[in-house]
Amino acid sequence: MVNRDRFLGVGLLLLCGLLYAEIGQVEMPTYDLLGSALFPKATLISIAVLSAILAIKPGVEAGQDSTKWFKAKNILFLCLAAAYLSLLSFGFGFLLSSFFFVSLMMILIEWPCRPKFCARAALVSGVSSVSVYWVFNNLLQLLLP
Amino acid sequence: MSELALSGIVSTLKFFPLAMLTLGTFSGIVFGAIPGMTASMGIVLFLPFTFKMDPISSIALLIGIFTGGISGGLVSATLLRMPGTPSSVTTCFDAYPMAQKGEPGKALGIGILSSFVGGITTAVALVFIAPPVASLAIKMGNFEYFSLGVFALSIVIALSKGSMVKGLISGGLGLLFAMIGSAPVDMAPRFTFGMNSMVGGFDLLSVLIGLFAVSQIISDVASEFGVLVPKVDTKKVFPGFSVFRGEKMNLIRSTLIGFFIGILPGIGGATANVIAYAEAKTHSKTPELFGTGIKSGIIASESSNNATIAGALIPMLTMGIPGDAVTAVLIGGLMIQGLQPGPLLFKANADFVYSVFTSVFLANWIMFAMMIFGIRFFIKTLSIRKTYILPLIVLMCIVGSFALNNRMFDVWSLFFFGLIGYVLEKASFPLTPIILGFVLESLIETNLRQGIMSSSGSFLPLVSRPVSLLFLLLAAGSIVLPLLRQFYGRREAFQK
Repeated sequence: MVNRDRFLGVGLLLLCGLLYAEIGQVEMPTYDLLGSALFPKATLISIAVLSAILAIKPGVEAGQDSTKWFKAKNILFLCLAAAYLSLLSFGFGFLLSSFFFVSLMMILIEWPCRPKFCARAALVSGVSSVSVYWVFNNLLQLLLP
Repeated sequence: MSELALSGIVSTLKFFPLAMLTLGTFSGIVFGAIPGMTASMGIVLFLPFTFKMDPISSIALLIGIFTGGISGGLVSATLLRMPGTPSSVTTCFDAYPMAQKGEPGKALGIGILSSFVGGITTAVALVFIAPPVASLAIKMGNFEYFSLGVFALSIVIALSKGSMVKGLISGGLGLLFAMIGSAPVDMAPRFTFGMNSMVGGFDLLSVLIGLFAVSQIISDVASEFGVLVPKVDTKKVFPGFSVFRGEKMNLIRSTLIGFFIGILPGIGGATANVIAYAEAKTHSKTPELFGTGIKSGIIASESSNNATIAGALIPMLTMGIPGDAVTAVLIGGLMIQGLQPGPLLFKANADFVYSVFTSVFLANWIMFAMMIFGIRFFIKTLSIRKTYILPLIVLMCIVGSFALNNRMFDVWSLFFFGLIGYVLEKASFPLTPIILGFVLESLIETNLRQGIMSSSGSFLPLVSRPVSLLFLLLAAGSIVLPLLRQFYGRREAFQK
């Protein structure tokens, strides 16, 4: 098993390199003696040095959370959230998207569950989506995604 | 008392702000009591409701959740040995054994009373300490603010749990995330990769909600905990003030520890709780009894964590620096209302500041009354299933983050930071330095750049101005001292 510290250290080091290349394109104004690129560069160099330390001399694995990075439910939740946000972004509507998202999330948390629970999840998600929509859109007149 | 102060107090005593304070305290206790739910999650849940409220009612609601959230943690700590919030970790050590000995009501009662005393005394101290601190802060210039920012960041990193390297990386990541978008002073776009939506940068609340609420939800989705709530004789909860007989010094010491640790940026109730407990044990005549169910341990733990609330509000209100994650969310809540925390808040919105003081004071009374008389209900909330709460919290997170600027970018960034928070927590990186870095970046960069421009390129004022020099020395000390301690500790272990 790859040590998490080593993995993150190398990942951060690569990210710092990528971002350093990007920040090099920032133009320096004449009136500002420090410029807008100085702080990002200093921060990136510091993170890169620290990441290198982490990669070379990682912490003891036992000191970390020994469970897997992601369980199946974590990954499914993230996929579900991504699908929900995509639906919202493409104008599927808050009410309908939220209904599907809440009911599927309830089923996911409770899984394995009985068919009776699915009906209850649909009811709860319907009520909660409509309530949130009514309170924020109609009562408080906030824009919803 | 000035007219503005009186106006602030009177405004809070009106029906709607009082109702919001009561609702907030009640919800906070419920959130604090349920393991896995925190005061910051409670605030996140209610934040969208504050968008259309007046500032006084809005802050009353949020302060109520803050106070209730810290106090509610003792319920699950006492009955289930699960701290409802990180601030109640050491409450488990003595309250749970006391409950197991057949005195759960007494354990809860001592905890509630200690929370109340710790909270109410520091709420009074807040009124006397915050205005002079704000008067001092208003006299500070660019160089002093830069050094203060560096000092605040250094404390958080130095006190990071476990590895200092990880604490430093977290702080650096926070600074980096804040640099995305338009730069201060010249508005040059940084790390935008040519995307228009990145020019505005990440919103503070999306970052906060993502790191603290969404990451917790990602984790909770796959966690399993069944709850078996024990029966409690709720008639014997109020122990009377005689419970503090022989414990006065412990109570005063723990309250002071909580208050002063609360003032230090980014440390919060969890550390105060542990230090107060350790100090109580050190000064006790019977240290061997700690952990077996004695009242001294509960008093130290609960009085200190509630005392951090008023302490954390001092740097937040006077300098705009969050004392912990909850006050960082509160800063976001104030910004929604068009209020900028900092020394000018005491000049421009003095009535609002006094309404905050009044809210903190009243929230402690409401918390005390609710927990003494309604403890039976709060015990029942321990059985609430996360299946019903978590999806609702996600919906509220989305509504809240979208309503800030009406852009989907904030909603996507919410989940992006949730994922980052989850991964970093799995690898034992502290999250608080990220928030502090994010909040302090603008303070540090803007003030240094403006300061250097005003001093015609000279860095000398950083060390020639006494206050700036003091903060820089303190920053150096807070980084170097733990390193030295670590070095000598290792050398001693090697010699042995």
